[in-house]
Amino acid sequence: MLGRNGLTLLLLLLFVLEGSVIKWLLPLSWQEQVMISPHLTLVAIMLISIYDSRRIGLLYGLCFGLLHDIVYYGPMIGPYCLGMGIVSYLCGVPKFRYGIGLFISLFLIAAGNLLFEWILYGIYQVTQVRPLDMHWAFLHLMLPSLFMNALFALILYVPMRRLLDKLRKMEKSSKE
Amino acid sequence: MFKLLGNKKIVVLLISLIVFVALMGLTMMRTGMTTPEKMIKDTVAWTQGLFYRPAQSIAGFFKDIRDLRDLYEENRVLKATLSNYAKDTMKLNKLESENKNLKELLEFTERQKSLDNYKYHVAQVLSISPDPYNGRININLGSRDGIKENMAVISVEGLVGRVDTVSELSASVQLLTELDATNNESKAISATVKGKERSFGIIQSYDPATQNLIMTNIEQTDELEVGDTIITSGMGLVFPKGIEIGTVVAKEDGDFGINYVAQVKPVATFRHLSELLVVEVPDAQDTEIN
Repeated sequence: MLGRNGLTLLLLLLFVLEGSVIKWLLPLSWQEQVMISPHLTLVAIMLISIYDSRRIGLLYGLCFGLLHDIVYYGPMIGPYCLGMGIVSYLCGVPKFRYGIGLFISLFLIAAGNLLFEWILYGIYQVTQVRPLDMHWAFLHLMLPSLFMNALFALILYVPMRRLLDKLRKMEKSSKE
Repeated sequence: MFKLLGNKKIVVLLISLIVFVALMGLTMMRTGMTTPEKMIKDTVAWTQGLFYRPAQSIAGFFKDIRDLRDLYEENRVLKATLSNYAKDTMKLNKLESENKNLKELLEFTERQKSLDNYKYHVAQVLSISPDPYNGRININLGSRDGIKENMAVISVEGLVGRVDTVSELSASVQLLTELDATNNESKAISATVKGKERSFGIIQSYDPATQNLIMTNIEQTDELEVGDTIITSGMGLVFPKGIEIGTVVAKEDGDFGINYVAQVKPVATFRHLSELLVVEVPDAQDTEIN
């Protein structure tokens, strides 16, 4: 499980998990009141974009967004593709002088998630596919999803970071 | 802003935005899936099915431990119901044969007889959409198993949704939570009250805030009351008749005060779904109206 292919496989695995396993792991009582949307793949792609390169993040974001649009047959093709592309690119843009630690990356991921939710909400609102009350949507969709995805980011942080560091070392040694 | 992104990037961004808007606009009106879409969907959905069952059994195990306490009481009640059930089966057999005889007496045509003879396909859920704006699930039956669009999908509890798109090995189910009066894609359900089959209403939207279905077009003379059980009437011919939808929790005046509007709490749960039944109405093509 190494190299670029390994990374793609990992993302595919996360994509498969987010539609099948996560809904069962979250207790039913939580899902009664609020709607939690797990974006495991997006979180992982944002980590790639932060620690590896934002171009690769953009590419992954576009591809997996498109895959999501196709597999779940949404009202149209595009919202996830666009949203995931933009958000994963923007996550890699800010540069910090002393490198990026856990807290800054968590903050970036949380902000990216919120932006993603707003993009989705905006697209669906403009196209009038699912008109929802903004206040309600914010409290019942966006905030719970935001916290849940921050939790996922916390879980994914260490293994992803290790994998990416290993990748970078491998690429360096192959160049020399 | 220009310094941050650079001129070239702005152009790329704008062009891709235009492309996306065009893509969304074009695919909004789509009616089915293209072949590559179907292939991708089948592959991913099948893989997700591999993970869905184990996750379900693990979650089920923890639930079982929690439920152990209630088991004793439940068992006692079930035994009591079982004796009633045996009694009812005897009655049902008698009534069924009587019904058959009466139908023959009245000289029903073959087609009328087979109209209530629904076929049930047992389907496993492969995945649930993580997108809160898009309540869709994928099931493991496709066009190869005889699944067609617009078939009703039910769980043990009651109506869950309808088949939305079909590919070779899997199909998407649009949940009842997706019902929307303003959307052409969603089909309204004609409904009636169990035991008062003369009453009539149309369920055409879902309110995510109260988690109730909205039933409209109820006549003022209608006998519908709070607490009644709502079932499908089968008049639209999209859904077979007699499937339980929910119970009435509120009855209010409609928009113009001419008709009543009822809030219906769905009996089926839409969160942790596992086995579903797809209902096939015989000769759906012959009798299809919409």
